Order: sequence, then structure tokens, then C-alpha cells
Amino acid sequence: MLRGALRFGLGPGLLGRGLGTHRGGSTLDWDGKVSEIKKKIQSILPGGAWSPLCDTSHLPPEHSDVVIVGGGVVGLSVAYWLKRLEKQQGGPGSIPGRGTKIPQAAARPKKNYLWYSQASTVLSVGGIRQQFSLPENIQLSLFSVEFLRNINEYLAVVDDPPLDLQFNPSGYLFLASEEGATIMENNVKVQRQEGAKVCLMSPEQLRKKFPWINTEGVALASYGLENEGWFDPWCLLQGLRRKVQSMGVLFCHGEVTRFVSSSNHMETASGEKVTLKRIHEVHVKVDHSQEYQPVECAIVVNAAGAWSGRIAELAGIGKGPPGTLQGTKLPVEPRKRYVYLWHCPQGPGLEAPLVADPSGAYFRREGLGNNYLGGCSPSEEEEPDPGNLEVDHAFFQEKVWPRLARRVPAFEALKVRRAWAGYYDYNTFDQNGVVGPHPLVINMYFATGFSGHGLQQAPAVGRAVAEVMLEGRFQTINLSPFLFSRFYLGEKAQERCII
Amino acid sequence: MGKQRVRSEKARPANQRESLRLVAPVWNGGTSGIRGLSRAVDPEGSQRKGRALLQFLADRFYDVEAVRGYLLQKQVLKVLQKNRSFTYIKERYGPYVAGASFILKQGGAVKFQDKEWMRPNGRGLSGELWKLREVPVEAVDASGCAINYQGLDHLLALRELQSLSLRCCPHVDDWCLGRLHQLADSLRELSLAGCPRISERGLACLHHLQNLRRLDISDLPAVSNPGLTQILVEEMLPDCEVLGADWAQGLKLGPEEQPRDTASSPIPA
Repeated sequence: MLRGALRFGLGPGLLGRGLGTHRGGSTLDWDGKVSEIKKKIQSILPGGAWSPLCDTSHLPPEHSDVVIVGGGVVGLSVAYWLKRLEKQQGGPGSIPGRGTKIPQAAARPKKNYLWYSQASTVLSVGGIRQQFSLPENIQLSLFSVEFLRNINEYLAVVDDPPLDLQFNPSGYLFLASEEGATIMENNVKVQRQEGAKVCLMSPEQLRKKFPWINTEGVALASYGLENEGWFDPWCLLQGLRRKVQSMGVLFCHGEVTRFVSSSNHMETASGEKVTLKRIHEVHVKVDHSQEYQPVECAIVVNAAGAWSGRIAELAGIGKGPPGTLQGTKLPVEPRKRYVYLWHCPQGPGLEAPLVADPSGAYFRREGLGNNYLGGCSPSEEEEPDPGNLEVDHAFFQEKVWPRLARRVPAFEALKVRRAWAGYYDYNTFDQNGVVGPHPLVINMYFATGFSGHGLQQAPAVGRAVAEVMLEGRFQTINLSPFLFSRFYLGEKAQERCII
Repeated sequence: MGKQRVRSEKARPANQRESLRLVAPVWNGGTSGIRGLSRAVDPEGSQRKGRALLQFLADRFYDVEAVRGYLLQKQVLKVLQKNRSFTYIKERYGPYVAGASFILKQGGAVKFQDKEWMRPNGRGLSGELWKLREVPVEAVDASGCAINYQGLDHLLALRELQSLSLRCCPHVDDWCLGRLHQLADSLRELSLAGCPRISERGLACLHHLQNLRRLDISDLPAVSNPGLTQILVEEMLPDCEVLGADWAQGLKLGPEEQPRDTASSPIPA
């Protein structure tokens, strides 16, 4: 009653300013007022987020120990392992929620309405394999598979439901032509030495096991029997987020625009002059506004995926005469890759692994309804423009479909249902990850450049980076071949084939 | 080649929604928390109120959260302890006796070649087990045992195993099925009925078991499409008799149609 009378009597012109509302509708809104007062009281009480000077709840904190740029699976994995390894050492993080503050800024170069709409993690095909040629890659993948298998022990949060990664243990099948057969044999030997369960198959055995394959041009095949397959990357991401938030990591959404650093001119033991840089502040700009927050930090982790190159440039990496260590840029750039989902009623059955053709095309089964996912890596000349994530359907018609149909004749009759594109954080130097500190910017650590196998190595890479940050060296898996300094020294850690 | 209409979607939101929908039933379907899995086998409704109170307290007090975390860890460690490897017995008495003693300790039954079924008799392992060093194990009934991925090592060492029953094992999941290819030469009979964690994705890696003649995949709550899965598994293993869901499950029967016999062998293509 009273409410109605007040609303009638006091029109917009009279009470516009009086009640302190600057909004258009200035009628007395008791429900809104009461809830606002409740909110204010809650924030003032201990535990609330009230700051007497101004409301900064939407901004990142002013101080933090570690800032991780990039909130995808690699960045979250680094945060998780940092919190976890630090707890084990009895550091300040032994009380949950306290200890090192690790906010994660998602470095978005353009406007996005969904946080992860461009992140490589969720657009990935989700495969995991141990069939690499470098022992380090195999070890990373083996540990990651063990992490995924025991994910509900690692990422258990009290009272939250367990995670279901939807893992398909169907394995990877790599096909090799005559030229690649010796390399494949050597690779399988290394893989077996490291403990991967891989077997070699002749074309005859291949025909017997998978009658839907056309073995023309195939000299040898390697098939992963255990611990290989594909899973749901979104679920892993959510699981990591949930766990990492319960451990006290803060999430902030914004764009990293600037690093404020100081330089120190020093001399090495042999008398050379070097300039060491140390980052002091990270400026994080809030979306859709000019507001930014300088976050004072001790360490910065560059896990920005396809945009890591830009972050490195902001930190001054690569600004110097070419050929010197100062002038060595981080050679990670975004590369667009397409994934197509099609339906083929006569296609391979339940036993189909992820098949990778020597021509670069690959596919895997998706679900039970005769749907398949696949794509192809373009050659250097055909690289699409990474400016946007638009899908090129002609690429499927001209490059992917003929190769797949040659390998699996049943795919001559198929219908594309859906397609999307995602970025690889492509390392143009040797297509393998960059892990560890930068030699000159002493408090920036890298965890990027995985060129398409970041998702499957993320848990292990997170642990490796956390070890380097806390102990100063790699403890479980030695990733020295993946340090930044290899770009300056020219030592490639090359992998044989990438999908 | 006819014209093909192709649609593209930005950032695959529909795909995400689908995968979330797949995850949601598992999350909400009474298997919340690690204890929830044993609850799926043995439900206790009155515990839920107590758990709601504990959750309320855990959200507000670090101590309660730590205690609950510790209790959760203890449960997990219990299962790990049950599945530890019996290296001493294996070295001394061989893999067959080690595997058999593992199963008997867990509460299952073991059948050695040309012998009768041995079951745990409540008074420890029987003396004659230790004399069977050279005798291979033919059949294992591990129904209801708390075997997990690690504990499967003991079973995979039994190279002449012909029949394996993993009915209602709460910790046997898709990852474990991925290991069964090591028994491909000898395994003829496998039962996975009632295992709460097995889904159609794990069943896909049973194609290695080409000597399998009987497979029971009934009552798998995590399989999303039991009828379709059974058809696909039957196609994958043409020589095997697959017991499972009635493929007509969920379809409306006409008045003159009879429900199909579930144990009938697959029609040759």
C-alpha cells in the first residue's frame, strides 16, 4: 500500500537525485534496496570483500605471488601443481585458501563473450597418445595418462561429484608408407623402452583386424594397445578449475596489456655483459572498459597458448639485434586448424581407433551413431589465415575427404554435419613445447608452444613447471631439451610427424 | 556428386551442451562422492541428511573440510591397500598362486585346472594352495571384489585364464577393460554385468579378445544406449555370444509381437 502510494506521489523528476539512485527508474524499490543493504552488510562482515575506498571486486588483486597468463588446461595445470607441491613442502599453502596467491589472467586480444570460446583446450579433438619419437614427450604423455586415470584422486573436492572424462581407450593407429617405415620402427622401439604399450602391424595383420582399411601404400602400422585414446577436454578443464578454485587460486578475466619491469646490468663469469630483466607488475585491462589493474607479482607464467608470442613481446623478449639472446623471439604463433564432424552410415565400427594416414589426414569415431571427427594438417603453403575462426569447407572437399576416402573406402559416402576451427599454439622452430624460465627475463616461465599436443601433456607439464619454480630444476621428467635457450643455440628438439 | 549442405557452428556450444548432458546423469544419479559408488551397490537413504549437514559445515569451517578430505583419502587408500602387489608370493610360489591368493583375499573364487572351485573359507588361505605352483588357473570369479586397475596385474599374469567374472565390481572401469587385451589368447568367457563404472567406451576395446565366446554386458548403468551398444558389440565380435540388454528395450511392441530372447545368438550377417 505504502509502496504504491509513494510510487504514485513521487515521480521521476522530484526524487531522481534524492534517493541516491542515478539510474532511470527512480521509483522506490524496497525489495531491491533491502537486498542491496543485505549485500553491503555481508561484505562488511569478516570474510566479505569490502574495501572502504572503492569497489574493486571486479578487478584482479593488487598483489600476488604468481600470475599465470592463460586459463586453459596448461595454465590450470601449472596452478594446480604449484599449490599442491607447495603444500607438500609445508609452505604457507598448507592451510587451504591461504598461501601463494595465484590469479590467472586470461589474455584475450579481442572481445569475447564466452571466456573459453577461442581457447584451444575446448576446441581440441581430445586425443592422447604415447606414440612420439622424443623420450621426453613419451614420458610426459605417460604421466598425463596416469593423471587422467586417477583424476578423481588428484582433483577430488569434498562433496563435489566425481569427474567422468568419457575416456575412450581405443588407441591410435599410425600408418606409414615405405619411406617412413624405418623411422616408425625406431620410434616404436623408443616408445617401448619408455614403457608405452605399442605394437607394430604388417598390412596383412591390418587387413585382418580392421577390414575397413585400404592398405594400399601402407608398409607398416603402429597401434597403441593401452593408455591411448581420446577424452572430453571440457570435463578436464572444469575439473581443474573446480579443484584449483578450492585450493585458493583466483580467476580474473582481462587482457594483459603491459609488463613493468626493471633491468639489471650484470657481467657473466667470462666478462660478457648481460642485461637481466625482472617483471614487477602486470597490467591487466578489464574487458569493455579502459580500467586496468596493476598486479604486483613475483613470477609470471606464460601459458597463453596461441597468444604466447604476443605476451612474450610485451615482456620485451626478442627486442634486440637478431642473432643474440636478447633478439631471440618466442617462436610461437597461432595456426588455425579445422575439425569436421561427419556421418557415415557404413563407416568403421566400435573398434575403430584414431587413424592417422601418412598423408596427414586423421579421423576417429565419435559416439555410437556412426559419426566421425577428423581433419588434416595443411602444408606450409596452404596455411589458413589465423585472424578468425571461420571454417573453410572447401578445404574438407579438396584436401581431407579424398585422402580419407582413399584410406577408408566406406567414407566415399558421407555427410558433414558440423565443423569448427581452433588454434594450435604452433612452435615454428620445432613444433614441441617451450617449458621453463627465460634466460634473461628471470621471472617469466613458459608453458606453451605445444603445437597440437598441449592437452595431452598438460598435467605433466604443469608439474614440471611447478618443480622448476619451486626447486629450480626439473625433478621427475627432465625437460631440458624444451628450454627457451634452444632457440638461441639452434638445437631443435624435432618430432617426426604432427597431426 | 550431389550438392551437400554443410553447417558450421561457432565454438561448438551444442557439442559442449551434449557432453555436459552426458556428464550430468552420472554426476546426479546418486553417485555423488566416492562413497556414492558403493552406495550404488548398497543404497542407504538416511545418510543423505547427515551428509547435507556435513556439507553445510564443510563450506564454513576449514577444519571440517580438512577432516572430510582426510576421510575421503582414507577410503581411497583402503582400496589401494587391497590391490597392492603380492611380490613375495609371486617370487616364491609363481604367478598362479599369487593371483589365486589375491582373489581369495578379496573374497572371490578360483578354479585351478582339473580341480574344484576354491572359495575363501574365513580361516585364511587353505594349505593346499601353496602346492599348486605349476597348475594354471582356469577360471576366476571376482564378483563384487574391490579390484582396481592396479589389482588387475594379478589377473593378467594368469596366461591360461579361460573364464573371468567381474560382476558388480565397483572399481572396474573403462581403463581396466583396456588392459584385458593381454588375455586375448586364452579368454573364452567374460562377465561384466552390473559394474557401475563401465561404459560403451570401455566395451569398444574388447575387440582384441577374438577368442571370446560368451560375453555378458547386462545391467551396465553407465552405458548410455544399451540396445545399440549390444548390436555394435555383436558386430565387433562376430563369433561371440553377447548377453545383454534386450535390443528391443524401450521400443513399443505391437500386440502380436513377443519380446526377443536375450540369450539368442546373433544372426550371421
